[in-house]
Amino acid sequence: MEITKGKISIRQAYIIVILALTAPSLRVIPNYVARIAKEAGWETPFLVIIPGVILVYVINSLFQKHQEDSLYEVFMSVFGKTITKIIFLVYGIWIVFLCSMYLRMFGERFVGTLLFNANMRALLGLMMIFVGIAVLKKFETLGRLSEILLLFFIILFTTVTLAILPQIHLENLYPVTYYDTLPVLKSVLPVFSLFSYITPLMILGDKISHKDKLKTYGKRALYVLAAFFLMLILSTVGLFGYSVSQQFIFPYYFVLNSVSLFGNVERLESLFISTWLASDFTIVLFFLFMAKQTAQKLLPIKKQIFYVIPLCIVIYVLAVMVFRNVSQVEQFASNILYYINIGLFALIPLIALIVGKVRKVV
Amino acid sequence: MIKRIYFFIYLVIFIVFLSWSEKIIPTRNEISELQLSRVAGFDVEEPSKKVQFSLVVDSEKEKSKNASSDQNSNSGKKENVITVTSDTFAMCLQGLQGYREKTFTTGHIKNILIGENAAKNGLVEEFDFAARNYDLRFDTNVYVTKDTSAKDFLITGTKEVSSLNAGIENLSTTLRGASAPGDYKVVDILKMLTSEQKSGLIPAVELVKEEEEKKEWRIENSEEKGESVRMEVAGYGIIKDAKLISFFSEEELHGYNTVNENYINLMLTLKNGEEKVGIDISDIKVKKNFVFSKDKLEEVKLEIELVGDITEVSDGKNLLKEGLSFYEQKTSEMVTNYVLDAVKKSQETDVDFLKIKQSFRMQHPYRYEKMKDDFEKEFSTLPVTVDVQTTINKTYGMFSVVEE
Repeated sequence: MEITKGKISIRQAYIIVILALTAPSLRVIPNYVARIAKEAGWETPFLVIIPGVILVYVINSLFQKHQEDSLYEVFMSVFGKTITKIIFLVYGIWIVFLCSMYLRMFGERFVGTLLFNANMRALLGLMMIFVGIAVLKKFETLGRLSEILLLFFIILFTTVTLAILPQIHLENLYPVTYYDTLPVLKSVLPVFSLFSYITPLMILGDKISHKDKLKTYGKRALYVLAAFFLMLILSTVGLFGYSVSQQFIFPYYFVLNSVSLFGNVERLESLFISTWLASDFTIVLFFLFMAKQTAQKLLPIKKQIFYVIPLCIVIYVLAVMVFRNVSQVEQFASNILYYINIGLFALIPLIALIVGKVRKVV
Repeated sequence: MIKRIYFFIYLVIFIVFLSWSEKIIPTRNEISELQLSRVAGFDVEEPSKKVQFSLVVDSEKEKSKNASSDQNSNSGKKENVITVTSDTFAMCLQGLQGYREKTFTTGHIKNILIGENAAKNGLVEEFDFAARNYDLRFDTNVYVTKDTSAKDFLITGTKEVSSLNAGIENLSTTLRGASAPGDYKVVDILKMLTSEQKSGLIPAVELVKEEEEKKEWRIENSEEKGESVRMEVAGYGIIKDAKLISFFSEEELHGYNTVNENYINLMLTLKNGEEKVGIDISDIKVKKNFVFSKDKLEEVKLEIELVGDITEVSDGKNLLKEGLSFYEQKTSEMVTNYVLDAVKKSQETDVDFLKIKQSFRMQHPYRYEKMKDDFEKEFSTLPVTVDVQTTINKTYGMFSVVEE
């Protein structure tokens, strides 16, 4: 795909989303799916394709007549200036909050699994410094970086999954009956809410080229993510059973902790941790880029350093101050986060499409 | 550009100094600074109900007074057992940290032994500690020590074998080969404890005095003088409501292994003990069928197909003349009794170690949903019929040694 200077291709944009989603997926999906859908949880990735494809079609339709625009310009033409500013203000606040939550989650994971006695505030500060520097660079850098990192991730994840497959117990994934229909449908929500991050990606729409391929690559990204989610559920719930998987805050870490490769190589978590760290870095950077872009649209300040530094400070302070412990982050995620994500990143674009069609601007 | 390079250099220096601080990011211990242990034991001290945490470590002259040490007095032995008693296992581990110059770690523990008393008191406390201890691997093997505490087992074990871990690993291989489908790991016990019934099995090991050998064999070693004690596998302990309630007998163990399609070896004793025939059952297929009358579960039928080999005939008679079907029928009768013993145990204890409930759930998920709350109650009085068909496959190339 030909790359326009100063822009990333839609393919690279989706790769950023996939890589950014790996960190929350490794944390959220095995735990939530086990908790809600029990042994039928492996059906969830198949079902999430349906709302996922609908969202891709909605985003694609919004950008049909706005190939060079970002989501802000699309909303401007649909809702007008005032409503768009309000929506983007809400988007901005929520994105900053998400960014701080994922930053905190990175800290919790590292302090909770690897560096037990480390000072979490220092870890968060280090991460924020690196992300703050990276966000001052061009968006294309993140695009190229994600392409390389994703390759590493796929190789590692597939190797680990293949090592786990012979140890999976079928009775942990079966039987599935119609009694499982409602729980499985419920478990689609948190998984779909992660996929809805393709909407904030389009805040940077003016920096993404080849939006005519938005639908094609969107569906491909969705299938890749569904396959990733499926492997994740099979290797976690299939290995531990749902009753154990739902007890862990980071179930996949314990999968890595419990398996050996060909009966000889153990401690696979150390192999995986660098990729996991890269994914944490990507998701925090992803949301910081969106927060920066949103601020740029709302505030008439040209020098980006003037809002990047305050944003970094706000995100860091929120990450440190708002959540007191990992249980609070979990409660926030399971009770509030997914509904707001779906509301903001799936329903608002759908409303925009309907209004835009009525007004014949999209 | 120069400014950026300077900024980058300052940043690297800043980060390096920040990372250097022990208060911010503690450095990892070198392997030489760690006190490694391959085997650990969990016990409950009576009557105080305090917990005891024992670790088998390489022998070293102890200086501290904080913990008791039962060092093996035999020369040439390298291991001893350190036991700490406290209110919680975490405090035990903490108490150990000042005991030697090295840092105690659970990261290299390969085998965990639970004392019988501790298991009878309940496994929740032990495995809550194990699950929260991030160093401890989830694929660590778990055993319960029959008729003794884990501490005593470890102390005796270190006297009897040069490497206790290797000794237990060897038991684990025996367990896998002759009695069980595989080892039970920490994660398997966690799965059992997080299930609704909190019931299942746990492999058992025991210390057996030579003269009190309960097995079908007795071993003597000319090098050993005086009383000899040996570590043996002791089948399984049965866990219900997270507590150890009983152990399998030999017959129940054979029955359990048959229904769970594990390798078994049998000895047919015929003609009032005059004739003994050794049979290895290498292939077992079990079908669990559920018979309903209208919607009510009336009966469970276990259809078992065995394929075995004759390994020895005590009087060397000609098997061709006698006919293999005679031995096949005798084997079937014997295995039927074993399986019925195991079924009886399962019904008495309400523990689904024969996986009958699990099979029912897999085969009839909708019926299971309706009766899942009462299944144990109904199963405890349900008739179970066993039909065993045996095929003798090999006689190892000969029909007889002694021609009649």
